[in-house]
Amino acid sequence: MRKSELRPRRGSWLGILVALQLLFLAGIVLFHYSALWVGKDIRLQTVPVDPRDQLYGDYVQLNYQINSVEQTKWKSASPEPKRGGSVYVRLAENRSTKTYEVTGVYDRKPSRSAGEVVLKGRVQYMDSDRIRITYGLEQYYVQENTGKSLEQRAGNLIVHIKAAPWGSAVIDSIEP
Amino acid sequence: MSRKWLQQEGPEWTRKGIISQDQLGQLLAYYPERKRAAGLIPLLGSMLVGLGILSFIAANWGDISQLMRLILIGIMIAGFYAAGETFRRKNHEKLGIGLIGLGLLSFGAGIILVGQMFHLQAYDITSFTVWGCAGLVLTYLVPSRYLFLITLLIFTCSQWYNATEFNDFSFVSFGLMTIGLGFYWLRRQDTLLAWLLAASFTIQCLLLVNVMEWSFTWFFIPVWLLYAVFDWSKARRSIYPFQAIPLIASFLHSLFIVLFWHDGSDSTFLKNLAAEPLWFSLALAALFLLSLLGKARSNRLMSSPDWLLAIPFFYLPHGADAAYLLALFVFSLYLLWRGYAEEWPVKINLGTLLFLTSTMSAYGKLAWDFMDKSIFFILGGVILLALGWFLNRRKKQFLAEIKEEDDPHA
Repeated sequence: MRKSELRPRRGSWLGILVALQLLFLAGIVLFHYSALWVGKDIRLQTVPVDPRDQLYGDYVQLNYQINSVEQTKWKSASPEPKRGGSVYVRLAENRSTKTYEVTGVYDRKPSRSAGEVVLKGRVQYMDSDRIRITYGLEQYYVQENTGKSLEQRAGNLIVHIKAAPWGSAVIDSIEP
Repeated sequence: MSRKWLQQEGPEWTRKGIISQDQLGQLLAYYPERKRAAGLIPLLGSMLVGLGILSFIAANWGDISQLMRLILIGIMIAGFYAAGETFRRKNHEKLGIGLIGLGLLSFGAGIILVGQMFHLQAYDITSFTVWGCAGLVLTYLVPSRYLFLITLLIFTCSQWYNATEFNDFSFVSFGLMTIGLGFYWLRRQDTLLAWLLAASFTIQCLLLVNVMEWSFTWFFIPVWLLYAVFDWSKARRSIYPFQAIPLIASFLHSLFIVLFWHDGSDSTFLKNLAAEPLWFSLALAALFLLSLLGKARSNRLMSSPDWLLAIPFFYLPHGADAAYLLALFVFSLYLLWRGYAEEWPVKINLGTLLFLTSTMSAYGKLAWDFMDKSIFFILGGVILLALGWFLNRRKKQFLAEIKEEDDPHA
């Protein structure tokens, strides 16, 4: 008796739980789609990396010029960025190559003028004169067994990124 | 209880006149044949269907438009949950839970697929923690061991991934798992789930000290905390895995030192292992006290020698390996003795295994350097065989005694 009284209530809780899961997925999707819709299009140059084998099953590892930044670009009060910490990287377009390059690395969100973009990144490690920063844009998923040709060119690609003002950045396309 | 056993032994009882044929019939009717195998078939069937759908979608993934992919994921999640709940209401409990489990798994698959769609690269395990939380709530809503297991697996694997991939430890995920699944377990105690929960807890503690680069022996503080907490539990038999796993972990640690450390060797090995003495000793003493008070409250002071394995001999300037070896021996003998005294086969078996292990490591430690290798192996084998025979004979006698006590007519 008791059990059957409880059942509809439990069922509706289950319904709420399922709805929350769907909402969660929809939220991620919307957050990144919104960047594709309203984000600013920026071109990024990739550079070769070691090891050469950059095809991991179903994605190609990309290494951008902006992944490696000179220490002199660090523009904050503390002497050096924290390993594993978040940083904000300001980019501006290089007029001759039409690609975006780093103008400064900050520990707080910096102001930006028109034409400039700020990406949020994470400090992976530092060596004597450079900071290695990742942006979460370093993996490009491809259909299985189709990544070989892209992999061979991975060191010299122009990748289009859409960067939204609220910090979400997504790979839009890769120039053929 | 066990119908199969009843069917086997029953005819013998009627032949001896202990019960009549009628009574046997009544007894058999009292334990109806459970449709165990038949209950598994829908579970397996639902898994096959799920796998089929998944592989079909995966094979055609590239040709499906992004919007269609999202809709497919959504339909799959909602569909599995809805079908599962429907079957459960129609009293197909197993099938229902199997499908609900598939719903939970497709939620995780959805997280990964959405990430791939946007070429996202995870920085941390937040989304996996969300997945684990969905599993946790689901386990409370639809109580079942199956969902408990999936949830435990999600939390454990994501922590493992977090440690190996991001060199990070998520206290949030760890806390949610320990409290969430622990509280569920307290309300529905189950031995298998206890083993797995305790194992996951211990593995995550290992990951913690590794990621934080703490001295290894700090590992034993949360582990002995787990042990001590369960001294306060009134239940006894169902909680033993929570204390067995800490003991096994400590035993293995001692064994490792016995096998791989020699007094002459570089002492930085132990130094790197050793936690800061003052705080570690204080913490250990506090846990010991907590454990003793718990044991005293529930009349279990007899099990206090378990703490032998916690003594931090690694602080000794000399002879740490010998001290550990002694501790291993005393502990395994004590465990064997308790096993016989409590008439508890699990303890006897474990005690036997640990005793043999200690003997062999002592033998290896002391005799390896002095003996020709072939003699070493032959003698070692003989010692093992003799010990095994002796312990086995003792066990058989003991089990026979129990049987006689249980069955005075035999």
